[in-house]
Amino acid sequence: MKPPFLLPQQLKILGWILLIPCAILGILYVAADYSLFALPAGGSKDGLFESPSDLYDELIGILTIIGGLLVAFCRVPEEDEYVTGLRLDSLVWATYLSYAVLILAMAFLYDVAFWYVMIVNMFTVLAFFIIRFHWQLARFKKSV
Amino acid sequence: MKNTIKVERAKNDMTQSDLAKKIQVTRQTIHAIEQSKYVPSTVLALRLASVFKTTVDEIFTLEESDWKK
Repeated sequence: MKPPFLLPQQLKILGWILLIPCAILGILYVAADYSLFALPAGGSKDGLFESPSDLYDELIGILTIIGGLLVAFCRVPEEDEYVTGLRLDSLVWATYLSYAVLILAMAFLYDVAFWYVMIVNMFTVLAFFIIRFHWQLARFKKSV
Repeated sequence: MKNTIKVERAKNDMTQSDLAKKIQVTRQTIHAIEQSKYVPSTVLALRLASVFKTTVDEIFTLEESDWKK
C-alpha cells in the first residue's frame, strides 16, 4: 500500500501541546462562556460581512484544529503498511460516527442546542479519528 | 490466505524481529501476517519472497474463503 502524505514525527509533540490546552479552553468557552483573555479585533457590522469583535474563539478553534491535525497525521515510529491500514480504518469509523452524531442532532435537536452540536461537530472527525487510531495502535503494539 | 512464513523463518533461522528489519516493517506486522490477520501488499510479499530466495506463490496460498466477497 502506498503510504499517504504524513507529517514529520517530531511535530507530534507540538500537536499534543497545542491540542490539549486549546481543546480544554474551547470546551470551557462553548460550555461556560469562559475566556482566558480577550482578543479585541475592532469588528464592525458594516457591509456585506460582519467581522467579529473578539478573535479569542477563532484563535482557540484554529489552534485546536492545527494541534489535532498534527496529532492525527504525524508519522508514528511504527509506521508501516499495517499502520497505514489502521489509519484508513480509523478514518472510515471517524467519518461514520461523526455523521451519525450530525444525523441524530438534525433529527432531534433544534435552535441553540443544534448550534452547539454543529460547533462540536467541526472537531468530531478529528477527535474520533485520534481516539480510534491511538487505541488501535496501542493494541497493535501490545500484540505478541 | 495461508502462508508459510513461520516455516521459512525457521529454515533460515530468523526471528520475527530479524525478518521485520529486513523487509522494513514492524515485528507486530510480521506476527499479524503469520497469524493470517493481515494480507500484505504485493511489494511486501515480493520482499518476503526475495529474503527467503523463493517465489510469492511458494509462500502464500489462496483458500476457498478468499474467493468470497
